[in-house]
Amino acid sequence: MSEQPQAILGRAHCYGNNVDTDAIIPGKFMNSTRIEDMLPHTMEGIDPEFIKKVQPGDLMIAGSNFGCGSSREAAPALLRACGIRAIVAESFARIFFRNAINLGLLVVECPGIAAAVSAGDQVKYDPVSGAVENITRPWRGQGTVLPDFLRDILASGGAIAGYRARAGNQAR
Amino acid sequence: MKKQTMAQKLLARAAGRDEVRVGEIVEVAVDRILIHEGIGWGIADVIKEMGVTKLGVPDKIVALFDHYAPPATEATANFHALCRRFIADFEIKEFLDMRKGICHQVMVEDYVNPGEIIVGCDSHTTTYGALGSFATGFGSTDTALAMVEGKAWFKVPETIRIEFTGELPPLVGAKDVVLELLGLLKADGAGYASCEFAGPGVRSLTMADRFCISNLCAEMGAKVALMPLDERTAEFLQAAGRPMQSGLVTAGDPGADCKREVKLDLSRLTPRVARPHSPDNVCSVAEAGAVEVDQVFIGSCSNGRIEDMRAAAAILKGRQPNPKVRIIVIPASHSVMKAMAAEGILQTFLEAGAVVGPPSCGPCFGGSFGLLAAGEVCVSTSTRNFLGRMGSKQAKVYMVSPETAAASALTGRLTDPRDLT
Repeated sequence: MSEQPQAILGRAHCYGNNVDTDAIIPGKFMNSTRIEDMLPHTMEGIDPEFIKKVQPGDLMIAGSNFGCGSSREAAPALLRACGIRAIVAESFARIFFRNAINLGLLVVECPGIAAAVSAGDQVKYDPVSGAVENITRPWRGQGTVLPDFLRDILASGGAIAGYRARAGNQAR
Repeated sequence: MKKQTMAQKLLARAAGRDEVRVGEIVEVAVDRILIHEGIGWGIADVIKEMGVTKLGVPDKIVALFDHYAPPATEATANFHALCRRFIADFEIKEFLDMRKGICHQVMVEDYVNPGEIIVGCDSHTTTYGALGSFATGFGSTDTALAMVEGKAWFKVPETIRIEFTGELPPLVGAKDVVLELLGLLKADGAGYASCEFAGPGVRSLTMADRFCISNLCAEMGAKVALMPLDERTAEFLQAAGRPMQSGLVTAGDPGADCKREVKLDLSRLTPRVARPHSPDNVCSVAEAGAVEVDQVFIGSCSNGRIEDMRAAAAILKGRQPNPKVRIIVIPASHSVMKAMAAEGILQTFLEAGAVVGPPSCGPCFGGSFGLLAAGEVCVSTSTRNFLGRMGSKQAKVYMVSPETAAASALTGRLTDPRDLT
């Protein structure tokens, strides 16, 4: 486990304010326990083309209150399963934020990000300083730095890994 | 000692401290954990991945099914079977299956006590704040951690103090109150915050009104939605067989630091509607213009109580609804349905041609029955109207009170209940 996490650089997928978890994964597709079954429907409520476009390592950029609505953890789980490396938004809804951290999915609050990035731009995030940069159309912003205990959860790969470390479990 | 809000006091009490600071992280024991089909939506997988074979606090868990109650497809039937195996494997005794109703209604009827720290795998867990419980929604992992470790961490929230004066006029309901607040604060206006209700107007609100308001504060991003404890709280709990104890946190300190203060005169409210496709897209029913209606849904954890059913039935009784409108009525619990039968309300809905469904979430979350086709419009007392929530992405959902829903069923258009002759 690295003490100095590396910078993240990825291609942006951009969405607006109040992207809700029904949009990320509609309730009608949640009749399976398997992520693989739901994966083709990721973001279907807002952008049915997303799942065809997304590549591992991409970033999601959004406006305010990302992930609002239902507490369904499948929402961040599916975004992570698609290969989204980080979500940078003006702000996050609270349950989504906790869920994402618990899953080891990097979530960054960065004022001004929504207007500064267009789809396809290359965006860079430095986890140490919190700096967010649009490489494609030069812009720099400051992401909120998480409190230590949340950074620790992320660094260990999520809450389950953190629990296993606490409980002294061996790796499966 | 500095003045504290109700949220601060509840967390301080749970943490065994005199006071807590807004913004600090506290870890507290959880008094109750509510789980439903969320078991299959991640909780079971997380617990397995944690390597846990025995839960830390199985006796604090209440488990039931309400989202697929009963299963309408083989897939959801298998889903339930998987959840039942988990419940048996992990020895969760308080398992209600489909015998009681929607989680949040069952919890306030049978389980919640003031002062308790409660987490649920469902965003509308904020409902129990009406009984002075610090109650909030979690995702699968946080819920699983609480089930295993019996505790949870919270950032002590800022408070938005909402002061009510006056009393609701006839045909204006608690749903109109919370829709008005949603229109004012918007979907993130209470983000991470505690909504704390105060003022003489609270006293005029019934417990049913308070549950409705606390429930939908989740749509403003609220962490908790706390009502003060008063005589109505005491009466409710007495009738429920859980008499209110002494020494409880009953309210926030007047003058405690708040992020924002909102004042609402209940007597000046008029029927509201949240237009497609967001619960905060609120205006008066009059301002919404002409809206033709295909389906009316009365129910959900927002408005499925006996008081809601009485209000809707009073409007429908002895009148014939517009035949093009399908009316779906779903009581929030078996208790509510029994009361409907006893009071003749069930009869009223059946005579109106309504489909009366099993106590469950039903059409609200779009995974079960009562869904909408492309181009259809539903006027609904449910909790959300996001695009595609109740079926087709080409359908529209308007969120209203039970009174407005019933009035709209009569006319076939979105209708202010005060306009009926």
